[in-house]
Amino acid sequence: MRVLVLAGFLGSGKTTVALQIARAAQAAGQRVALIVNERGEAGVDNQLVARLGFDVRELLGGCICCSLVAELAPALEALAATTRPDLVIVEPSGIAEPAQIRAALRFARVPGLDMRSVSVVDAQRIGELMEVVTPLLTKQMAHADLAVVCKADIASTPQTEAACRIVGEHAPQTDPYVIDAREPLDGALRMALLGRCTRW
Amino acid sequence: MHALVEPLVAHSIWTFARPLEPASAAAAVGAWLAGIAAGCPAPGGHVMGHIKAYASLPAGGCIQGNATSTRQPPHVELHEPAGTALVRLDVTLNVLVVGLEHAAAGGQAIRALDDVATCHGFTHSTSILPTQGEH
Repeated sequence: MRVLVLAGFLGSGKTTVALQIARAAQAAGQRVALIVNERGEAGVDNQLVARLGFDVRELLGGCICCSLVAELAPALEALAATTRPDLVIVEPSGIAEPAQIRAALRFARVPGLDMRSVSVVDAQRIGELMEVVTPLLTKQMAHADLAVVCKADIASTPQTEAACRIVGEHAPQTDPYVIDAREPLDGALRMALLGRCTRW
Repeated sequence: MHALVEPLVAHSIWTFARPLEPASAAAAVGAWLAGIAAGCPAPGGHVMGHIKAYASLPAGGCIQGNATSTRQPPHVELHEPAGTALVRLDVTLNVLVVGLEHAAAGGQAIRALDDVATCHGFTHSTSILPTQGEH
């Protein structure tokens, strides 16, 4: 089972990216599930994702990198034992630290667990956000196996280029993919996210 | 800027004086988000967090929107297969903005909604869930 942990600040586009990945995986014949975490007790993203017909587990009213961390591995184990998805997309709250999520998931009793962290970067706001919440954003990028710069459809070209430079500085282990919410994910990114065992 | 991050969750029931087209309801949701965002001064006009709303529609559709900037209108999507006119809308609001305390966010949300309700001709009953503390 592949698990993609999305990491990105509040409003950076994680839900949009999660849905793009989920649709691509479904189109490739994979069974997909999502674990959606929101800080508030009544979520918004979970309602949207569920309405679209995806298998969703909700972890609400806290953050899965700290107060709800003990609930994360059991949620994944429950999915593995019941719906047996090929792909699980974990969408944490935008203030979560991915390293702590990955640490928690290492203890999940799931056969063949293949975990990747995906950093989701807001092309429009990353410059200003880095001035305000530097430590959190740095952590969200530092542990990324993949980075996507999103909102390319509404950001200016200089903003997108600047976002790529910031990713290059803080996540030098990965070349960022620039994505547009209006377009399906391109082939190279789909391959990186979903692996080779897919039908396109 | 204080790095406080404290979520606000509100449930709001809107009652329309006369049946309202879903597109008009979506516009009202967008106006609410914009009104809240306008009270979140931030570098470059960007909201240092997110302001999101979701409302299910009776025919199975939904209205969802979010605001992350004061320089651009909120992004609002209307998914309404049947297009049935609405007499009521149940909206969930999430506000999570760096430095914006729960009480301040709640006050801002109510003030912005009062303005939108007056402008669009509806009444609302809004409850704000208790604070869950900081991250």
